[in-house]
Amino acid sequence: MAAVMGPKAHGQSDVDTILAALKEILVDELNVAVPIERIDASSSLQDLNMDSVAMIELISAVEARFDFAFFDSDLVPSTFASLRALSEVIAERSRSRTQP
Amino acid sequence: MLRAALRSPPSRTSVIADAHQECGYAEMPALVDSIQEHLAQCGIQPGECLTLELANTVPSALTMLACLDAGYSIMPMPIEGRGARAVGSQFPMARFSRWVVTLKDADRAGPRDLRTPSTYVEVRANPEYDPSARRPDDDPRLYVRTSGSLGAAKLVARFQSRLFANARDARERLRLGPSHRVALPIPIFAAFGLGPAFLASVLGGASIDLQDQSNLLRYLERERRFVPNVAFVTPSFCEILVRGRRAPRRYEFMVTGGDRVSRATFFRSEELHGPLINAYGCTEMGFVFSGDIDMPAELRFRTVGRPLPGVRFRIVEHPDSSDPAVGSLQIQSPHAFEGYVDLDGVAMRLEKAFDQEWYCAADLVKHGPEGTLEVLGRSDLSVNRNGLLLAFADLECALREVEDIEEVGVAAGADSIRGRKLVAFCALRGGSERSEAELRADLSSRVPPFAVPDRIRVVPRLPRLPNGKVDRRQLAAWAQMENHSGALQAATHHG
Repeated sequence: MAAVMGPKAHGQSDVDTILAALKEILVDELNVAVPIERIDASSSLQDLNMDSVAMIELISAVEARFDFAFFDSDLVPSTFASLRALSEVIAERSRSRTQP
Repeated sequence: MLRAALRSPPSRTSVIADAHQECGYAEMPALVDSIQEHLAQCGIQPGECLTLELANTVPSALTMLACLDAGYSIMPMPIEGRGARAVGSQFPMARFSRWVVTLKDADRAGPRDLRTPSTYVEVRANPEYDPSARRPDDDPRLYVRTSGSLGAAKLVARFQSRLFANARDARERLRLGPSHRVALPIPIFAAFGLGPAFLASVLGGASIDLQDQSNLLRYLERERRFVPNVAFVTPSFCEILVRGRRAPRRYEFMVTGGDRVSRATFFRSEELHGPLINAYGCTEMGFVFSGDIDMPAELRFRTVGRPLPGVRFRIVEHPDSSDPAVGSLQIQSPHAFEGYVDLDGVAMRLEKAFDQEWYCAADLVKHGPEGTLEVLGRSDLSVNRNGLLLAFADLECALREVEDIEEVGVAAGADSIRGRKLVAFCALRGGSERSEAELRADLSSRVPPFAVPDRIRVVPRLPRLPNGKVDRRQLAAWAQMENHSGALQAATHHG
């Protein structure tokens, strides 16, 4: 499946576009055992049965897809409390990366 | 020894903390007294054995300290329905334990009123209790369930006086003191978390951060709040920290024990965290070998350090080893366990566990430099190939360095003309489509030809025991199916 958005697209990204890309990562790259139609903005990593190893894979996949690196201070439970919360952090990091 | 540490703590500023609250050492004597009064009011008699269901929280830690201080025999275990006691796991209660003492509402967030034990300690009669089973202990013991990845469950009985003496030796080897702030993401109901980590820290007057059901995110969050300078981690948690952390965070030292950490993980951890100390112990013997921060990094990586005071060891010939320097480890320790008991408290004779007065540790080892010990892997998890001994642990370490291999378990299958067939079961990182042939080619550039397994099988995930360890018996069963690929496919994808 083609990427919903690549690193060059994040400048005009909005949270919904990021959400769609996250779902794609979860299903296509991380093979989470939850059908895509049951994953929504309010899903938490716990809902997706993700352990620490899967979490690290998600972090690495997000960094590769959106071309930025999380800070350690981003890696807190609140960032991953829901896919929407994660999308907002990604949007924030992507914006700060593109600003001069 | 524990009484002295609790009643006149070495530090009055140190604390025991969890995600919701903290308790100063200065407050502990009164809190321990109130818990002991509560237990006595519930009808618990001196010398009785309590099944203690614990979480890594301040109320659990205080309850355990109160029981140890009161001289009750205890059997610590996770709370029913959590962790290793997840629904459906086999966890029979010991019939000689009259009471089950548990932390109420273990998953409820928020602080507890530590001065009112009835709000967080629940005492109930053990429904399996049989009054004709073992009589009360006059010398309090610690009973720990040991499952191992290969054998049936049994209980290890150990005098508490020996547990404390071993924790004191661990404290001295690691030089734990009031200036230390210790992160404990490992459970305090298991041997490594209880003795060398929790009790040694208490005896040293260190501050302790108890992390319940920790994971990468919870750990990093607690790290920012508690600011630890020491951590006790399992090898797999060390790997998670190394892979998940984005910037260095210096510790005075970290301690790990159990399976061997790969070279890449060890040295990456050294870069990120500072010295990593390998230790060696088991439920039966306690904490028996450990490195220390004065040892050079290469020696800390290769070895588990030197024996603790009073610990003696010898290396005996192993039939599969052609290297005379490599053999099976046997240990004697003044703080060793008393023996194994069954669920009725009746002593079990396990001939395999002893060679005269020596405990057989089932690990293949050799002497390291300067009185240290190098652990190569379990002696029952190795094969002889082309006259050379191959420890599964070494091969698993090499396989973990192969790109895209997430987890791996090696097992010996049916006999073939060249000896026992060796099968490596690998689960790949999400999205990887590397073929078995590619993995094999990659591995072949890393290990000598005799160590390349006969087959590499990609499986969705490795079979695990309820305690999280790889289920070696299941792996061995898969390896036996190797000649029947249809059955193997069905087992590994649906088993």
